[in-house]
Amino acid sequence: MRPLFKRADIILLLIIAIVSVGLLVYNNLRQSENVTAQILVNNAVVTTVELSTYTQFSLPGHEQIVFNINNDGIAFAASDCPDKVCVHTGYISHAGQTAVCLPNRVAIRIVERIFDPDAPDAVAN
Amino acid sequence: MLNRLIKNPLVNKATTLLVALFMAASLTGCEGKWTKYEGAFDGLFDTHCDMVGYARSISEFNRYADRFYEVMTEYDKLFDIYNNYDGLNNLKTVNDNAGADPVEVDHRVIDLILYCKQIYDITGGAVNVAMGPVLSIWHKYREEANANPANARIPTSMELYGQSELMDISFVQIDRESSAIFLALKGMSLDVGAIAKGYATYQAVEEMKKIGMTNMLINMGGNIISIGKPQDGARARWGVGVQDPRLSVDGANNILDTIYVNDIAVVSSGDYQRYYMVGGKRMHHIIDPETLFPASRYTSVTVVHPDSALADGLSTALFIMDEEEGKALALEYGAEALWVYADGQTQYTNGYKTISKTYGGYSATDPESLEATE
Repeated sequence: MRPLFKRADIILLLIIAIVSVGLLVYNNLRQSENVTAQILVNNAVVTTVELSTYTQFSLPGHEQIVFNINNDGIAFAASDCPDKVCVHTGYISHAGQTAVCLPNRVAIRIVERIFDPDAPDAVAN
Repeated sequence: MLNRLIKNPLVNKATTLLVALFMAASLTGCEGKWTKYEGAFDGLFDTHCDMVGYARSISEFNRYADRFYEVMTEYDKLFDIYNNYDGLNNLKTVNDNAGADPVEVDHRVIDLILYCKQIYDITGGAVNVAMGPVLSIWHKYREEANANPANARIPTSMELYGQSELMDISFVQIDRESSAIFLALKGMSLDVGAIAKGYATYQAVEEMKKIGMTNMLINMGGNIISIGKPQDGARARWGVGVQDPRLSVDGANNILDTIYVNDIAVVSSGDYQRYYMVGGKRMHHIIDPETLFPASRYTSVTVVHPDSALADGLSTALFIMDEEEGKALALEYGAEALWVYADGQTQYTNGYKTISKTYGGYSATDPESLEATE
């Protein structure tokens, strides 16, 4: 009786599987490498941070706000504002995303390094 | 129509390339080069604003951005319900005089309230700007919960229903001749939060267009308004992300979908930004005028429509209405929409699919999409 899968079929399937997983991983990696985060105070960019260095930090003079960078991007980890909208926003890592602490006039904006035509220019929320 | 029939990706790619070449050729024909500029401001309409636009020079871009800021500042004062301004009658003045005197206001305030009445009518009362007394109770409880989360409480039904007779929009009386608004019952108050931001943005964008602005994307506190297209020589449309209403388990804020649009507003209403927690339940800010409690059918609804005022009003309405009613309303007014349920299930209008990356497989450079929108 003819086997359901021939040896060559299995090899082909394996190759397809490996390539797919590889592409998926590559795409995710590329995404985090292709963006940086701008931090704005009073609507002016005061610093640009890399999302590849996992760290926790504050801006001088704004110690009441703590930023955290991890595998999921960057977030307001803590803030002294009353509404906590900034903390609720969570970790952002996609071009066009923003997190804003309005009472403190501090914002994080994710920008792309290399032009990606399909990346959003802004995010509705 | 021809493009719709082409399903061979190779052919599509070739067409894209042709379109790109054509654009490059037409760009060189222009006097002056398009450059991308960015701007940001905050403090208006209790929110942050980002602007991205293409202009021939920084001074040209600034002229538009300044005009936008100027017009928005005027509307912010006129539509403010929390602050008084010297020598200006605004919505706070109207609210303060409820049950006492008609208040003479700028025609822009009259126009807004007339528009709000229209929205009330077309949404069957789902969006009611006379809900001020109920919304201010929720506002008070939310502020208390923010200050002291361990003691977060929910208002009682009695407390809320005690205000329901003050929510009757027919008691919002407008006299166009004397340009006056009168809230006929003491205790009434207007809260235009569901419409004012989208309404003002629409007006301010029109003012920018009058002085020559052609290509810009504005993010006014999460309301997106796109004008023209990105003049980068590659893309036919702006990309607008739709936020996933729920963070992932590790707190990542993901993008659920990206839609590609020209000359259109994208507005989301959701339970994920302004809320407080009581015993594991999320008490958010969109209150159903029938139950007087937060609407609970969806976690977010996104509306796409050329008019940002209507998009703003419809996003609140659709968040409150059931899906069938919402779909009918969207269809009637030519809006596209995406509904996200608590379990993550999504529903969308037929037209939404034709601009969506996730549900329709479209992209910013897709010539097929070009035809659909231009």
